[in-house]
Amino acid sequence: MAETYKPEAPAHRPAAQHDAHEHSATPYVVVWLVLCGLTLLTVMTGKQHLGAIALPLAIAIATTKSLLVLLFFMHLKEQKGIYGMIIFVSVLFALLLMGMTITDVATRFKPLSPAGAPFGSRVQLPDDAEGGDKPALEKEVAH
Amino acid sequence: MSSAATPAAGHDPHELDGVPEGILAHHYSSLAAQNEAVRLGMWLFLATEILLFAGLFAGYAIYRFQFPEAFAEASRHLDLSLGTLNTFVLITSSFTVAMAIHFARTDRKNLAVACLIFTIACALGFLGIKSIEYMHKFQEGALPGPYYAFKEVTAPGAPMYFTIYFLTTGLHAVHVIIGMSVLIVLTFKTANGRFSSKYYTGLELGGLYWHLVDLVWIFLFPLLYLI
Repeated sequence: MAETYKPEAPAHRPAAQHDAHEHSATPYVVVWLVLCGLTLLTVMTGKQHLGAIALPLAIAIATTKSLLVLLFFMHLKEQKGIYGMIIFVSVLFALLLMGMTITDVATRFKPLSPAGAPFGSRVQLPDDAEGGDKPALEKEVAH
Repeated sequence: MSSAATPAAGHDPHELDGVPEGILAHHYSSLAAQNEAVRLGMWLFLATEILLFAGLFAGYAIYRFQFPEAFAEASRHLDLSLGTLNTFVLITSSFTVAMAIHFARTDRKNLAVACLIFTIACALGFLGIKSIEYMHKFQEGALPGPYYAFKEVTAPGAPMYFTIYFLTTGLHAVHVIIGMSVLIVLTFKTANGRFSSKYYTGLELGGLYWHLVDLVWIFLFPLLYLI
């Protein structure tokens, strides 16, 4: 096989990995700065306690950050689609798991939901610990 | 392993030029085929990691839904400035590991090693900050489940918040330790010249694991610290 070796013919060399020396570091720096900016944004908006919009906003920012990490730091942008498909499917199943369980919990007959701390506590808590949503639940049971 | 170094017919005969001995397993026809296979395997492993954390996130969703006030109140007793600092530390480490791979694949070994050492320092920093946070929680009695003795948050469901806090951040910290160990091994391999523009897949896979650690934290941080 030695006769097929042509070290002086670079055109026949499909780079073992990628176009090595043309690879640029600029996208990494930009993505890093954007990630830092988005972290500041999530902290600033999170501190405001924006009510109903707080959770969707926090998840939207986290999803944007994840996509940046996946596409640029983890090279999904420049590699085969199958890797992205694997992550897409696993995220889809994670969302199904969370969506189904939340749907279950959200649609239960309310008195079936635990009224107190799931495990109780070994240490005696102050008297006002008795408050919480217990009276409301007892009222509903009474109906 | 002489058979491993012999390129199969129909493939680029120069593929293994400059690639360290013994990288290509004999059952792959080419290095490119092996690289694709190991990358696919790594992504499948990362998918199982996502599903591992998904169970904990589902638990979080259930109990946050059931005890919204307790979760909000308990969340405000976490140290937001330390949590934010840790987020920056982890994002920066993710960036430097990406840079390490970039330097390895552009044949700048010393810069790659420097980036990896910085990444490992970030991992140690993250664990240090996390242990300071844990220490405060231990002292306050903000412990999981039946060991809960935190007087400042007594709303029902607060012990569950700290159960989930310790489970999620604990499992994440285990991943930080594993990822850091992998990076230490890869730093030595990089310093020994194993990775270059010809072959850097091993380093790339270690980087992928580290990015996953970052990805999990990107979601954990707002969900735990910023309710």
